[in-house]
Amino acid sequence: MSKRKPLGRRTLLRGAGGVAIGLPFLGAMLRPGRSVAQPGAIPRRVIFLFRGNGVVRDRWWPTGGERDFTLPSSLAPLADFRDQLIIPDGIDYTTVLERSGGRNGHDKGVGHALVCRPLQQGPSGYGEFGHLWDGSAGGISIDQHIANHFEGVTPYRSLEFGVRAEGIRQAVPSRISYRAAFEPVIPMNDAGQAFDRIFAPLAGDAAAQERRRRRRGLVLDAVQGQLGRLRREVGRDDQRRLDAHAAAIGDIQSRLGDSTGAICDAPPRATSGDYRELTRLHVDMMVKALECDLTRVASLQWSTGQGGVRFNFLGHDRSHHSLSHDGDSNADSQNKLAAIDRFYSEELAYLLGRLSMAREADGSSLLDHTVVVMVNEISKGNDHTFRRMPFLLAGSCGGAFRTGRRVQLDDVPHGNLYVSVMNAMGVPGESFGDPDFCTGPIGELA
Amino acid sequence: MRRFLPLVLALGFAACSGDIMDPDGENPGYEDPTEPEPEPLVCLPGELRPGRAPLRRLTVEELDRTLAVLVGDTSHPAARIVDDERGVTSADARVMSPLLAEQYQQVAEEIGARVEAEGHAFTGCETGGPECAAAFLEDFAPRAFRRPVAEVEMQALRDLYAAARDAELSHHQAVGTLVEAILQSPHFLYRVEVPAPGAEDIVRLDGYQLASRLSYYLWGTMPDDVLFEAAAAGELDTDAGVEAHARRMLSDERAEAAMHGFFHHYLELEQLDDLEKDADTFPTFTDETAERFRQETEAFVHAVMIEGDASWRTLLTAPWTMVDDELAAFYGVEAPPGEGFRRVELDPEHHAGLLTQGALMATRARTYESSPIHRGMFVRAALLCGDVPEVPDELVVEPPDPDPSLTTRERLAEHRENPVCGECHRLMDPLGFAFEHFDGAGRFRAEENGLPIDATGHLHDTDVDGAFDGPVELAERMLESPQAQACFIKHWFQFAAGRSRDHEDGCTTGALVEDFVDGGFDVRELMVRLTLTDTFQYRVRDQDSVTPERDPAHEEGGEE
Repeated sequence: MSKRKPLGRRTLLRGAGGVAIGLPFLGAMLRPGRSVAQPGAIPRRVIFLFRGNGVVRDRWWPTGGERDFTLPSSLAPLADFRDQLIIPDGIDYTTVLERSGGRNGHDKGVGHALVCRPLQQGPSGYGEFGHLWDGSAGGISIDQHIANHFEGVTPYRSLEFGVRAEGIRQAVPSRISYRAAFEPVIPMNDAGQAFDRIFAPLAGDAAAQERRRRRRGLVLDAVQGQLGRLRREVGRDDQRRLDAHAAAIGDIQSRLGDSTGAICDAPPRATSGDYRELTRLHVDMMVKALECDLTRVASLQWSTGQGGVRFNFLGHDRSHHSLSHDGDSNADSQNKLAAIDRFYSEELAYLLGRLSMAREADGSSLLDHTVVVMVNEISKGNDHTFRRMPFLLAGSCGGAFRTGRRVQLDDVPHGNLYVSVMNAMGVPGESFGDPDFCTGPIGELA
Repeated sequence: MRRFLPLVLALGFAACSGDIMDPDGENPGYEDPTEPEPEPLVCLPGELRPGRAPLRRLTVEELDRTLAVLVGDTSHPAARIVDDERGVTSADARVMSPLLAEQYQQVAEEIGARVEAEGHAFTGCETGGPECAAAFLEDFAPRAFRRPVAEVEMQALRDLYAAARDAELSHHQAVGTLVEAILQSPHFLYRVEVPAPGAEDIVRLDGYQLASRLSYYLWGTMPDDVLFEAAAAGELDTDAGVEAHARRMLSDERAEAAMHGFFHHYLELEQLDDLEKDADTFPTFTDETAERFRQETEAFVHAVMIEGDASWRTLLTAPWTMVDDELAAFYGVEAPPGEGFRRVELDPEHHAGLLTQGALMATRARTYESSPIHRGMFVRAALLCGDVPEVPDELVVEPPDPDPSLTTRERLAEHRENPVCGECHRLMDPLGFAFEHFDGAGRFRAEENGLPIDATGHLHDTDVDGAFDGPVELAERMLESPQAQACFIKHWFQFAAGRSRDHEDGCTTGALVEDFVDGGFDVRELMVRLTLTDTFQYRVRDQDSVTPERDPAHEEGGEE
């Protein structure tokens, strides 16, 4: 059942001495200039971050030239990583403007953010009681498109984290990541559950682990057999449901041979309901999972579209979404919104800090081989506009991008950005999303 | 079945984003507004029209209750399952994901570990071995799959036990393995309804399939022994048998699962979960208040649906509610002496059942004030199944600041005076004004900022247009409206069928509406009547022939 390539990096590690080797030990072995059997190139990674409700423009967008730009107050927390940033000014959600397929501004923004296709109507959870929301994003999202490329290369094709990204009956504004239209990928919102999933799938001593593996293998084979037989007896729509189920089971089966967490010095298991603490717990696990090459593709979604988080710890008494609809002349609300923008910059800085501290085998940093793409659902909260979207990139992804720049663009479709990102990740292609509104990679980024 | 031709009203309001409103209660999100009007249905007597029957996976609540019956685990073992699943009953909207599969695995393994630890106490064997496993399976597998299990399936399970023993697992570990496999089986996690081989296109469900439909619909859990015996004895092969069991089940306290399940969805009670109110404006509002709103509504539903007349009229107009001491103090009403939640009479001029309870009034409000817009949206969307347009993109909205010299209604004057706002807000605000006697925290108020309250409103673009005054008159108008009647039936139909209502279900829902109106809005009768529909008792053998095509290209986008 496993689609794992026979000579994956992790397989080699286990093969070396018959036992799992902790990464720090391995890191010590792999000093620059020394090589093991197949050192290969250091893998590239991509992280997508989502936050909502737009930005306060005059305090977010840098001013100045390509290299001599100034970070305004909302981006000031990123000063230490100025040389790692690319701020592309002039990318639109062209697909929303030209072919949205939707009705609700927040639905459109979230549904197009990583997908770049018109929304599809259909029965969502909301449809049950006539509540009026759109059905689904219109296809696969860029993170999953890239993840498909690494299917079988790493234990997890991708890892999705959420900080209060709870879906409300699976409506469009709750989901950024899709394997296909109507197939959203659900993020892990609980740090403890995320830890259990990634780092502690096999507790106990080696013998107990082996028993557990055998037992799971038998159970999942039996379940797959039942799914397969049942599939032949149902209609197309139900087959699609069972296929999704079989694929999900297959996902677990493909990892059965791994002692996933054992090889990696996991961060401590912890949980938190606090917005900032939970963010950092997730970031710590994400960075460790990327460092251990458990996955090449990760995402973190803060809240949802139309996100109603109330930033009590910033002294706010109204929700982010509610504040974002206030007029530009409301100075108090603008200050509060800018404080939220600044908070997200601080958390991005925390992520970049962790990535820069994590070491690769050759002594370079994980950040050197990663690109972080931060997206928003809308450009500005009170007019739901989709022009001049506040994208932010960090990290060169192994030299694919020239960083430390503010890049002036003009009405570039956001699908183009994703072509650049997927090409940087080694995924070939000239177009992503709706081909009518994608004209190829953004040359200015390289 | 009666002949039924759906009412067709010309109700387009193209100026407002070109949205459609379907007077027949069609889900507006599901039909492409650019498509031509569907052909009116011709409903012939005796013609079976069950419509789609998508494969339904147990909801989190159903899984919890099923495990309570099946293995006696009342610790809410499914509570760990991702929040996305909570509250979604429509099979159309529920998608399997790797994370979910892992969570099913965790639930199964926790129970597997318990089985292993309990050993013979769980299996009822005296000694371990294949005979014990086989005997255990004979009892456990049919209950877990909710039907007799074929010998070939049994053999596969016995083979699994043998394979586990071959893999050096102990007897108890191997039985735990069996339980894990059964609890992750599609035959357990889904309500599988594969028709028996045959020639007919439309098949009546067998007794076991109907037993599961009845018990998940009315009790939210697996069938009890009485239902299993009824299925085995063929009692569910006739309308009369199904009806008798539906009535038996409705008079059981377990039926509260269906009642609360329906009203939780209908009113979106999950909005109470993180309800916040401005502490300066509403100093007596606390998190416990929100929880009491939920308890109030549940107690009210219990009082009407189980102990009362179960009338839709009562639900929408009752001049009384249920309070405990704390909620009575919050509302500023005098509760009669007693314990817990009990009935309190209210001013019949201002109070209208569910519509004016805190669960609705406080959630359809801003943190510091009422919101006629959101309350109007609830009436338009949930009571009338109508469409509510969204704020157009790139429109800068500057909400008015709170101004103590004006009422909320007066501060929304822009919506009436500015024609750009007015063309859409006329569909919401004038409905929501009915509730202006209820403040942002759900309390009755005689005046606002010392100013008199104007609770008059106006219905536009409905089948009961015109002026009204206050929530009671609005509720009466809803009761008279064929559109609102069809909408209420649509909600119940979708709840029972576990899917959205399609155009071709019009014959079924049309007959339900007629019976519901003729029978004086008896919701318990409606619940029984639903079990007698073709949709409940039959399925189309080739489901692909009834599945509406999803438009893969979706070339026509939004309207802006």
